[in-house]
Amino acid sequence: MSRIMPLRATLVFIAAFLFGCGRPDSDSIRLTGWIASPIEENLTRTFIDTFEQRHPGLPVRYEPITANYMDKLLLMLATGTAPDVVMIEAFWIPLLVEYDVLLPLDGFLARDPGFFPDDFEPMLLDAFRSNGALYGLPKDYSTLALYFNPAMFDEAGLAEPPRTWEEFAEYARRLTRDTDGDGSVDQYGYSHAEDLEYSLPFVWQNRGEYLDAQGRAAFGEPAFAEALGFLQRMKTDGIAVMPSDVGAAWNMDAFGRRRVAMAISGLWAANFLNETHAGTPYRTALLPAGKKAASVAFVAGYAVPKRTRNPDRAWQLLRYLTGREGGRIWVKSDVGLPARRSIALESKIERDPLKRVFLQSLDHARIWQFRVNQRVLDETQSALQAIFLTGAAVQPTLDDLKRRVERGGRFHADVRGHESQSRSGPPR
Amino acid sequence: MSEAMSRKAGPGRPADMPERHREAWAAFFFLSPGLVVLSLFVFGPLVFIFVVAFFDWNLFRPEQHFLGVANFVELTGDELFFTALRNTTVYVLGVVPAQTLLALLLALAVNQNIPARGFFRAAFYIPAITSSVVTSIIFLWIYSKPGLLNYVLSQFGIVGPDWIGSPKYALGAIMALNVWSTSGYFMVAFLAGLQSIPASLYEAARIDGASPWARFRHITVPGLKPTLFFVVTLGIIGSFQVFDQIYMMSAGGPVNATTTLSYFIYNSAFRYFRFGYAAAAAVVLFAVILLVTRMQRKIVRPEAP
Repeated sequence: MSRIMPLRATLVFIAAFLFGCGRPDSDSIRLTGWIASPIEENLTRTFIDTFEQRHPGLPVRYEPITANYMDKLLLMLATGTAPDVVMIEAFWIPLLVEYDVLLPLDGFLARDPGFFPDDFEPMLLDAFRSNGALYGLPKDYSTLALYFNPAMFDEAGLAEPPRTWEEFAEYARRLTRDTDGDGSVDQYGYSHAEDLEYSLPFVWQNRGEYLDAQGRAAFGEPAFAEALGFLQRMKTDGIAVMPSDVGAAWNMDAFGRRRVAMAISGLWAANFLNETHAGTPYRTALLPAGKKAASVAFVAGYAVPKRTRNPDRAWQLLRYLTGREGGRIWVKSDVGLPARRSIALESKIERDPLKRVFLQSLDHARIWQFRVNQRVLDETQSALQAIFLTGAAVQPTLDDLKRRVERGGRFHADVRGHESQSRSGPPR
Repeated sequence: MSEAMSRKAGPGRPADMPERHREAWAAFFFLSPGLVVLSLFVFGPLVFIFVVAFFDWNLFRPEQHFLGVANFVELTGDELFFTALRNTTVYVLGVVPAQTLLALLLALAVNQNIPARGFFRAAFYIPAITSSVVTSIIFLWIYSKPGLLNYVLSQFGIVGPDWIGSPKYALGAIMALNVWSTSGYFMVAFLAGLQSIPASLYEAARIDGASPWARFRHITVPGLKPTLFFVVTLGIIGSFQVFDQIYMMSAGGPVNATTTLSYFIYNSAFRYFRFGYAAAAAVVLFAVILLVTRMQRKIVRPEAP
């Protein structure tokens, strides 16, 4: 008998250890999110402290995911191990609704008169709606705007940022210079990023679409190709570069290293410039417009997984995270603008020379959100790499992309038999 | 385990039965943590792959539809799958001979009585025990446009490209990294092989007046055959499974230039949530590795002559 005892003790220990791994104290509300910046992280911690002070008996357990956020969150949602409240980009709402892993929030809103959902920018709230039900609440957002280097503009004799495509190309030409006189160009007009979201404003400005109203591929249409052609020509003309051409990690890195005079990005880039390239002067302006003005809006918010153990407690945290009081904490964020109008007014975003540009861009912005298979987006990314990195001809590359993704027969859904149910096309 | 047990529990000692039993139980007890972990995380999933491959398996849905061979049929029409297959083939054909040859040369070199032999042995082996994530990040710096490699090239007046950012060079650059990181490991294998060749053979050959080349050709090479088989087999399997460096450095891009089979499988499962389809691709990869290993068994016989 006595020889068995250590065995039993060992087993008990191992069992306790294994259970301890997966089972957090059941009292606390689990919250997850990505970490966009050190300021964001501090705000989240402040936020949790404030929440816990106001809600004794509702402890919060913060479990941030530091890398590959969606890879990990999707697996957690699929296996029912996701935290009670999850930070989520509006981009993923169509897919997650299709997978049926999010809790509709309409019931909570109806029972909670003090929450004021009408205070949200309507388009940001709609980004979390699908088939009439609400699956998340917006926290903050950023649109894309044009960053430009005022010192370089001065040197080139330019006073104002470009307002049209023509001015954009013309200014880029004047800003492309050999600054040290060694015979090779070392300052370019513009740095483009090959990701879809940075070409989309130009596509939309040209009245083109990525997907049509029925959610079918529209990237084979001439308007799409024209916009990409315009951008590709700037590169072949030697007035625009890809970040890697100048040894930069991404387009704002090229801007920060003073290798380019203009680049497109969101509010988060200001934080990056201040921290990493503090010596580089910058200002922001609305994107130059084509046939019409257009920009992309990235919306971040919070949602509650369907399989949460305690929806009511999750709602308590969610309503605080996205409520007015929470909004007053988030407003100090350097990666996004407040989703609530009252907070934007209160904090005088209109008068902030940097932030107001991103606010104004919202008037003509569309949400970064597509109801399309991730594989299609990855194939699109490869096609854009071919166009912008290897100089492949635009129209044939897009035709080939259309053929590839349509042949797969799984354009929208990851699951067979769901093609016919495609309903929501692009936002708005 | 089996050796120890069979020695004690040989057929000629029936009287030991109870003790033998007890020892077997003890052995299994001590092995059980390893066995449980292995079955749970290796053998189980391995067998499960062959089931999942015939289903439309999406983690988000409770029901899984049996598809028969539909996943395999779909693979035959998937251009990306063939791109991955082609990239993987190029990778294996490039990396395996290069790493084997380099490992052999390194082993021959550090097997000589050269000064600082211990230092060189350790230096060549360090890449093998360094985390692949770390080496990937170091090589991202070496390969970047303003990186170390291009700096060296610029000393010779060559303007180097952005190695990982260019579809033309990305795969080759990652192949070179892998040749560098694995040859140290295989060097140790060759070194062990070299040292197991009896010195008396070399002595006898020298007395018979055999040239260094003849000694290498007729003593070293045949003596290394079992090691060579081991190195080539592990090299082929490892190369077919290349993933970490691709995931860290290029994410399969640019323009799918570095999408290998294992990366394709990973994406199909964990990005597109098509576990059945991914499993089908994994079965194909398994079949390819099995076939190639068998073929190479015919070419490089493991037994010493």
